[in-house]
Amino acid sequence: MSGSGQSVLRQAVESLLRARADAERGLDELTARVAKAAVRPAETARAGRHPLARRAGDDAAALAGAIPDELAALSTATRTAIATEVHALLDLLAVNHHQLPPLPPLDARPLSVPGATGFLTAFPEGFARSYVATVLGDLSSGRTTSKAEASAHPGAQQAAIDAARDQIVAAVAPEHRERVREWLSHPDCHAVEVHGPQVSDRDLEFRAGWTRPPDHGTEGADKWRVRPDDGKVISKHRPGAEASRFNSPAAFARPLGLLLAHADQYPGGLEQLLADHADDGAVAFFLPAATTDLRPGDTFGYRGAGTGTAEAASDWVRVRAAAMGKDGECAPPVRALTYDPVTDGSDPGVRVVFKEGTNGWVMTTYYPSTAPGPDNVRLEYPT
Amino acid sequence: MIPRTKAFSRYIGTWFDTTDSADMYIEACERAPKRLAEDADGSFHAIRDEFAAHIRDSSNPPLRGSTQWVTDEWYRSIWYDVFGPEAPPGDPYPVPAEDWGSTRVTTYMIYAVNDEEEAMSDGAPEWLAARGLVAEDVYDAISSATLRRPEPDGYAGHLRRLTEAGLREER
Repeated sequence: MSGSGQSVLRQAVESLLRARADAERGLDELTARVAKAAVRPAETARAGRHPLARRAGDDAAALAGAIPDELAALSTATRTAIATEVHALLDLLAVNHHQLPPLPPLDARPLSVPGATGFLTAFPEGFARSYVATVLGDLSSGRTTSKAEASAHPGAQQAAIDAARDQIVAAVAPEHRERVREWLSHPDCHAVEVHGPQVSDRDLEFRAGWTRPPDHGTEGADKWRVRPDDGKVISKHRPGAEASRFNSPAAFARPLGLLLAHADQYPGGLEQLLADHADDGAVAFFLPAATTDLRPGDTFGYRGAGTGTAEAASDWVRVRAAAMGKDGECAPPVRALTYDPVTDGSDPGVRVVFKEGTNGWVMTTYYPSTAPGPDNVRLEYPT
Repeated sequence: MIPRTKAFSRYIGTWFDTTDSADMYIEACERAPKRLAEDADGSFHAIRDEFAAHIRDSSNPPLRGSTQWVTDEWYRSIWYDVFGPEAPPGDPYPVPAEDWGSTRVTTYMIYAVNDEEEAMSDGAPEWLAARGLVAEDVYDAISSATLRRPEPDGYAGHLRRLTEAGLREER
């Protein structure tokens, strides 16, 4: 990796923002320690009865007051230096990689105040501030995992997948159970395997961070592996920047129930609903969370840290692809963090995809999402 | 103005989002040559012609939180991934052919191309051959320096003229 590719710039921005947090924490601790260190002798000296000792105590106390002032100046200077670098990197990103005009200058005034809020407002509104906000906002909660951890993670149990499927089927209305079982049991359907309630937090973290499939080790799952001789990740599983699941069989079943109720009332039924919205034998629907009665806590996932804008998300995916390369040639691991698609999404809901095979329509995938995709067909309440 | 038809937006809405997985995206790219070859009713050619017209006229609505230029460039990359190296007819800002797979990396390249056959999509060799690309070069480009094109000078005026001519809607 070299030059000014956006994955390189992105990593540089992340590391500077982490440095800001470290510096601020370090200087805060130092300030507190110095103040305390000076105050203690001052108090000890004041406790002395001799006037000279008391005067020394007063001097020490005055000094202790001055030192934090100087530390505050140092802290402002540190923040300003970091913000200036981040601003310059974002300017490169904006102009060279995101087709944007050069950034307006940094506003140094808010940098005299410690904390993330002042730091953020120093950046010009728009691309720079939202980019810093999405990366900064995620840094504290985001974390990395190693290839070795992903590789050592235990495989999925087929029995757990089967049990989850049974529970989901039991949670839909009796008249839809047979169809839902058929959908979820089809070899081309990975909805339960990848997004079912049996999928663990760690499974999702490795799916987002290293593209490791949650059903790894079961029959029909992608043969994801870290090649022992050079550490390169070999896989055909291709997740995006979000890896999500339904937390319970009931939460999984509810939007399916709505879809089937919709289909029951659609002229011509399910077949016609799918045929009317298909392109070349494929259909992608978006079911809004509100109409499917998905609530906070019903869904969970790991997503790339600092992927809150389309530009930032595409940079993150590039860094992940670079991280999956051979040892010694690869980028550092990407950071990911937990999220609830329903709570954190701008327009949350469920996406579902069907494909037409030789024996009729198959549901291939079904998952909670923070928003519909571009031109995603939206299914509102059954009419 | 060519209105965005239902068939076109359905095509985009069905295949090209990669939030959870790039499988559909890759399939759309690998399916396209067959669709064009077996297009008895001409419906896929119509989607392709409309695709080109929307790139020409910047008449796709901006993607969520994006500018018109970023959106145009997104569609240009999809066009390349689906229809191949020839720029869409009438494109006012065609991408230089040599940029693809060297300084310009597409979604298909990131997800489907690898320097190891085992990690590559089954259709990738054919896809690469149709574009005169070599897997190793593209794979290297994914993790090295690449540039996206900045918004060209005078683009705002260009958009305004298209809008005034009734070729696109102001959004």
